[in-house]
Amino acid sequence: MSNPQPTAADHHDRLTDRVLAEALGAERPPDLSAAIASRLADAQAEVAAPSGRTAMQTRRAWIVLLATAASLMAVVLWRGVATVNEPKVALIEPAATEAASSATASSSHKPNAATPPVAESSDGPIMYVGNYGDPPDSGDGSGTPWAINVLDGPERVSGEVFVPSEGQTFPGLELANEPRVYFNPRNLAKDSSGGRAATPSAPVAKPGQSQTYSISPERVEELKSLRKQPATPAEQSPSSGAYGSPSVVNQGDLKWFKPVELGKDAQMPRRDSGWFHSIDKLYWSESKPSTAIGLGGLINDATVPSGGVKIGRDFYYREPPLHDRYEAIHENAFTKPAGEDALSTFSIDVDTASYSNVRQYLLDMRRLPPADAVRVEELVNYFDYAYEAPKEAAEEPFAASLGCFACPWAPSHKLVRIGVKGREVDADKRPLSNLVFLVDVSGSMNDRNKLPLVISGLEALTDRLGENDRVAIVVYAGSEGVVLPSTSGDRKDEIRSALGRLQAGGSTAGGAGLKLAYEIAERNQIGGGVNRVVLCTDGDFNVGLTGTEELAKLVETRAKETGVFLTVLGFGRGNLNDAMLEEISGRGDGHYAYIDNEKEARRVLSRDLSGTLVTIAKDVKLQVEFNPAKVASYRLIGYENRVMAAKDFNDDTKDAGEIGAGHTVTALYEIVPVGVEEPAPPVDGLKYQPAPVEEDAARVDLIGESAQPTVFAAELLTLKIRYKQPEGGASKKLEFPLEDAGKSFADADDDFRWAAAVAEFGMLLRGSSHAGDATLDSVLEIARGALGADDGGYRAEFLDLVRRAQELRGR
Amino acid sequence: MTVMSQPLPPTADASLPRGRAAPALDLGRLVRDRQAEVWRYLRYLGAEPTEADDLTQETFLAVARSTFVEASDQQTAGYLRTVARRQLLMLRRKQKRRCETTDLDAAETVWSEAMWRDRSHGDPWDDHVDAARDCVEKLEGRVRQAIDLTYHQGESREAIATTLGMTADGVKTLLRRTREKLRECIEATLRPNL
Repeated sequence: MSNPQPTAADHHDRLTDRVLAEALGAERPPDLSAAIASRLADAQAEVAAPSGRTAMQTRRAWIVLLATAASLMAVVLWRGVATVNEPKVALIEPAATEAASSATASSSHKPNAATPPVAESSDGPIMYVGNYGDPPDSGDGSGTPWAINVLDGPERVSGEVFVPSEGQTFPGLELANEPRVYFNPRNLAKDSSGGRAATPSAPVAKPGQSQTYSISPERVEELKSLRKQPATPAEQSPSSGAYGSPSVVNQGDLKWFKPVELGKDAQMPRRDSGWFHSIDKLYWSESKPSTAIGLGGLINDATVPSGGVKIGRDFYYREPPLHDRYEAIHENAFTKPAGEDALSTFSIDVDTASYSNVRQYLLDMRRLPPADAVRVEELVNYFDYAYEAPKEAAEEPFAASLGCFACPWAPSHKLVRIGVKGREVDADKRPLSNLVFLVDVSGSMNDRNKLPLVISGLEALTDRLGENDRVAIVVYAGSEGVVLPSTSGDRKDEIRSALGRLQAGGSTAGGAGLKLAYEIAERNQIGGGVNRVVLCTDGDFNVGLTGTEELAKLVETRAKETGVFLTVLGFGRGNLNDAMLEEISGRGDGHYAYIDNEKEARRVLSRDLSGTLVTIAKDVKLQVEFNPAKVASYRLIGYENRVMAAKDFNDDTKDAGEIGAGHTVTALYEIVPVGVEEPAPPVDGLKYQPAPVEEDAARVDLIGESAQPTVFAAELLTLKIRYKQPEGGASKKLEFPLEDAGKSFADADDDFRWAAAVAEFGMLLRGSSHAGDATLDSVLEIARGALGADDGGYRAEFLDLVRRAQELRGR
Repeated sequence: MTVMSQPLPPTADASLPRGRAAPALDLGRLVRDRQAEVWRYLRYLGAEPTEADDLTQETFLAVARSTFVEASDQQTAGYLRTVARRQLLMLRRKQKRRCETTDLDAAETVWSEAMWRDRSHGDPWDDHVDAARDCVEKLEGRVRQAIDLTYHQGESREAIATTLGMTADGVKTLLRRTREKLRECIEATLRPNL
């Protein structure tokens, strides 16, 4: 029944309703000026530049059209020409099931006797679209250990997989940016009787080897004819439109899979479980938690609880290769405090990226991280410590807390902790902020752990902004562009609306985007305020300005000349250029965080907003002078790529790290006290040098010319901190001496023990030669006893990391 | 089915003396001055707030693409409403939904009659809002409570029914009658100005 036509009285009533809504404050029209201006600018840019989005879309439409025509022509050609470039995919079979796999690969189908057969649901065509793991490097997938779709139901499906080449398209199927595997189980059933299956071009591979399959021209033809068949109503739900055309999906086969809404991270499957996705839904098979790493890679031992149908039981696939790049870390060795070597100098580092990166490896990927991904100081600095803050009236922007206790992994050694706490700045007292979000929207960001996380993180940050803040959003992909001009932080709807418009696609012109972001930040610069570019990327700049040094010089120059600092937020996995992001964040007077989940995004961009944005001191350098009368040798734990020459400490032209409001920074030294046997020196003694003076005598000489103990003789070390105000100028120096009270590790406070446990964990993950008696069990034991208040549950989560590492190492 | 017509903008030829060049459209000012009006009009036609946000932007983008020149205040307002109406219809077609306000011509008439006054004498919408506030002040008892719960506190009809010990339909009738009284009061307040 349709509604009756509204009368004039209804319209009057509605108008009065609207007037009342505004009169009584129920709603107000928003200010859309900036959003409209931004969209107008985009529209004008598109008109001016044919490479704009519209042109791109038109071009894509043409490409799809041409590719469709080309694929049709290819079928004709393939019939007559045998030597064509066939789309390929590599398949890895386990040794244990080699025989069975061989049979399967040659397209024989054996029902699984252990499980009830799945009823044939309809005679309609069935097409699954999906993928496992990462896409191959190249469009054709050749030579890449590409994870395969397999559906091991009553009919094994394998040998009938192919990856469409780039540009290749199929009517009714929507291709995403990445190549996907298409296969057709029903089609294979026909193959078993009809004998038209594509045959492997080489014998079935053993674990770790790859097997190439190809699609025959006949199969392409058959798939196309299948797609033309009409859909039945049952096939249209729930995946109607899921693959561009419901006619290629049979719902009966979806019962093995569980649909979820995209974007709900908690519900997302692990990377190694079977899944395929549609435009708006993700489907994945229920997996056992017992997935393990085998010789051939991850073993996907998945079952469907309801029907007991096994999926991929015999199927193994190698872990997709990661292309994350890390700078090699060479651990600091023990150093004797003789001459200038009595000084240990390094730049402060408040980055936390390594911890969240390690967390993602362990918790999400169930892998031990590569050693070079583990920067011990960033693991330690990830946590909050209750160090004493600088006094309200104090001129210095930070205070230092020193402590010395027995070293837990080498009880005869000492562990010295240097804790630095920056002045807190209340969120409502933050200085005026001028922020430019520079968001990488290149095709590689089209992943649930990337752009959606960027958007939710920036939305969390937007919630914390106010009228004193200005925000602009610049994106870069194939070309750079302004999504939101500099806009007041209280116009949250406009900012959210701009964030909502972000979409991934294209290559990565990061350098040009970076330049544009700096230009906007400089144009809207706030004197005495926070001026910062916040770069959100997976890190690979593959178009334009791409070299790390080039980019680093750009940000360094801008930071020095204009006072616009850089914060770098890394996202995603597989292409992460960790080394470059760390380098440019440091050179750009900023810091680097890695965002692996929404909680981390909120932590960095909402909870710790002041620390993330407000720099309270720059070029902060630490120099520790060790007393050779007490210290036989020392070793700085972590900070390997922050170590500086002793002479650089007093050289104000030498750049160093920044510290944000409320940030805590922890540095740990392992010390071998005098009289304790020292670790073996890394090099043999020198044969042609003058005979060494007796060590004790040398030590006395170093204390003073008179060879008498000085008034400082009781001191273990002196910490010197040099820093500049954020706006620059000459540096200032602070000094803090430390005496060793000879306390045991058990006497240490929770924070000290916690930092020691985390450092121990980091050393174990790195496979450090200095880990001594450390074990994951001892890490767990120390950490359990030092949890403290644990606001936010971050320390409890660390225990999960340690347990996962134990599991992965087989205890 | 409502026929969707293409709005015909007043052009330079039609609105300017012969031989005089058309002034460039000051889109920034137009957006600043008129965006609230367009947004309210879309809400009046039944657009959700977020839809009104998007469609207001689309309206001005469409105006920017057109050859529109400003001839008079009334003509500009009418043209913007026509474009906005068209945007809403396009959206509803895309959503395969009927427009909430099916008789758009009648709705347009009601709106234009209420808001016809030249803006040089002040924004007629603001006058309506001011008058509405004064009129609401005159309400008492359950009627006032129903209005406050609806517009101040955003309560649902069912919640108001529970609070006032009425049925939901009773609340609907009460609110409609109250709005009718308020409309009469608003019109009476504004009449000397008209």
